[in-house]
Amino acid sequence: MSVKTDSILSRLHYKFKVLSVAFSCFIGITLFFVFSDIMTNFLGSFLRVDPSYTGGEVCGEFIGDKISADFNPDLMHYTVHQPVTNARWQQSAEYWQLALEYKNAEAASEDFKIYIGLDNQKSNDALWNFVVQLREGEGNVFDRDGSFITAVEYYLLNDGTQIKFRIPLSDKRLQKVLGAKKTYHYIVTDEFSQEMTALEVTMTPRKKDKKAEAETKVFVKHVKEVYNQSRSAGDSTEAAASDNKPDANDIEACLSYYGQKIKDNPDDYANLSNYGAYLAMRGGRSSIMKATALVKESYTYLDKACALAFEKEGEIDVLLNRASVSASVPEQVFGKAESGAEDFMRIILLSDAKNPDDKNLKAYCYVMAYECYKKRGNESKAFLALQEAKNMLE
Amino acid sequence: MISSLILCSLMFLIIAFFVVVMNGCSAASVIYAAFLMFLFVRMTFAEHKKMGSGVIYRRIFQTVFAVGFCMAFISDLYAERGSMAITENALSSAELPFCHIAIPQVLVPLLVTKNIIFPARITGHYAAVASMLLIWFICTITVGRGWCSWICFYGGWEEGFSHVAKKRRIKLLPKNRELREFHFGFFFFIVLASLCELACVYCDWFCPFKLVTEFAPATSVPTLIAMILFIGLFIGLVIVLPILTKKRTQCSALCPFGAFASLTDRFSLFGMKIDTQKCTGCLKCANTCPFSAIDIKTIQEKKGHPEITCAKCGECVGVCPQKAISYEFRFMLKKGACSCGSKQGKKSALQELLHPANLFRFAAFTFSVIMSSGFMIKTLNLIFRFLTSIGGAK
Repeated sequence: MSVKTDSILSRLHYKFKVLSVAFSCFIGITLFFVFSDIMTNFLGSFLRVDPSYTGGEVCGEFIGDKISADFNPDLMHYTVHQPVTNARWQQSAEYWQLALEYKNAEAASEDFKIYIGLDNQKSNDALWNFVVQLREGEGNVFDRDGSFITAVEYYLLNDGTQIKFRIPLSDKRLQKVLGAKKTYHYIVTDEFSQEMTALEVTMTPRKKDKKAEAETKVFVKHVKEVYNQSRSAGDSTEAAASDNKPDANDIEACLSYYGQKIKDNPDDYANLSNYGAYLAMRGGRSSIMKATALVKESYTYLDKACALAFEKEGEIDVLLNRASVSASVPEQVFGKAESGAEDFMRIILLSDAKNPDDKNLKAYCYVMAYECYKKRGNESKAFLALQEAKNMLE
Repeated sequence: MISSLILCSLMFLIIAFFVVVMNGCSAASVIYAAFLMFLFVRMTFAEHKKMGSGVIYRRIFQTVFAVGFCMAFISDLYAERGSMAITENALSSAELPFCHIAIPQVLVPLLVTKNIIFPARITGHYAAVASMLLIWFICTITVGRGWCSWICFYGGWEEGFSHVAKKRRIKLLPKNRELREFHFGFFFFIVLASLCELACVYCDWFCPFKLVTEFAPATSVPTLIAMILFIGLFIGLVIVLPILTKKRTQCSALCPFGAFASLTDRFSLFGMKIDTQKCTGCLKCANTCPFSAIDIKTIQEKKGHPEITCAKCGECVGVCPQKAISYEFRFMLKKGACSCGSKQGKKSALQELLHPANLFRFAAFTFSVIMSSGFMIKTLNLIFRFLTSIGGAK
């Protein structure tokens, strides 16, 4: 009896194993690739590239308003890294990286100097110890007497909007950076003056501010809720005015309604845009295979609508539809976050001219642009967008 | 017959989604999908008719993929940087593409330093670290070292060259063991050196595939030595020796990922089984094995399975006159049992469908489809553009 039971159990066990393998081969691998985006981002949150490759740990970061008004107003982001030692695959094994990000490439191409003071070398009369000078695309370091110390590695990145300096620490005068606890930075386009306020940097790696991250999440949620409330109030008045329009939550009815409207007038950008948006919404509720095709199809309508609506009445609504779709679709499949952010920024520009009092819309657009930039990994633009959203509601 | 039809239908769905739908139903995607479907259908039905006879379609796929991958990759590099040389900008922004060969070099330093010692993106790109690590993990627990013979986008070079000559000029069979010893010795050297240097030593000095992807320009004596090394290794191990030995010499003697995949293959779902009762010791399998995984001793000592470096390419299955070699589930190999050779007579469609060989081929081909689609469609578009430009010029 027990032998028989054992044999049945072992057969069942074998069949279970074979079916598990079959499931992994037929469906598991496909499912893995379909959801790899989520898993990749999850794994990516634990991994990081060795700082010696990326320029060292960040010690100081100055974004937007935090950079003093004395400096170039187009400078968005200034980052000071911890000096790197024993770096591999780099021109200099010991270097110190500074990075500047500008609003546009033109601003980034201007000559400037960064006067740097070190706390372990500071005396009463000298606010700075050496100066990094960028002139005609070349960077050099000079001491207080104007003697040349070294040439810096200079990189122009992100379509010419970001400048990275790597100061080789081969000279003894510069090696004192390694022992400095604080450094003082003055970014100057003209001449240095004693009245300038320094950007003070403590030369220890900056810690992740979890509290600020949580606050940002709450703020983003709040802005979205406020905007949705104001929008739903507007929609109900609009729905009452036009009784033919189907319920906005009924996707199929809306699709046939707007589909008919497009047939009547293929160049009606408002209907094209609404049709595209509803197609994407249908994609969101469909199987993965269908969803991809539907979202791709939705962009043909959304893009056409945006092109037709350019600089016309109602452009904001058309852009808002496309931007919202771009912000919500998976980035690794469609890669629309950047264009979504650009659409949101254009909506802000347009609403500044047409409806400057609609703070809810603008704050919402800034917050959405923040999320899009974050998705793309453009931290400085994301931060600036968030700052603008906060300013808007203050 | 029914099982083959089911397998082909399932593969059709996978190809339709990952190749056609995900690539916007473009002409190139449809052509590539048709090519893949042709290969899979031919392979499945050939295997159904005669075990091991479908292996030629694997060879075709891998060779085409290797060439196509390099064409697409190089065109990407030219579009981004204007050359195949690694630029300082790409290096300083940690934007180098990450490939699976670097995985064994980064894992131990990752455990020690908690950092990835390779200047690559972590997420958000096709060659990002997180996505490659995940693909490696899923591959390890499904097809194991089958990656090397079915999916690896470099292996196709050797696969192609090893089938250029009709006759084998150099017999490696008596030296199989030494070759394996060298391979694992070199692998441990690379892992240790990477840990000591905190840099990917193999990528820096030895990787022969830099010749067909990207490389550091020869600006100093060390980079010149590295260049001579990788050009020499490519010519020697990827072109000349595969032609003379009809083996994949780089994969069998140098590639650290190959050695690593051999060590982790025990976690995979499939393995190869040699039915020692059927085996007559003709050594045809040992002579054919491109990965030098079957020695004279393997057969003489009746081990019942190939050596650790087996990449499950299936070449041995087709040449065995006794049909003594077959794919097997790993859990059956451990028991010493075999579900392949022992059972005689007609099998039901479900039994056929769940046969280890069918499941393995399906899983490996799924990986191949998904990994290759993006690159191959880009390559096809390049070819179309080239042909159109020639046509236009005429």
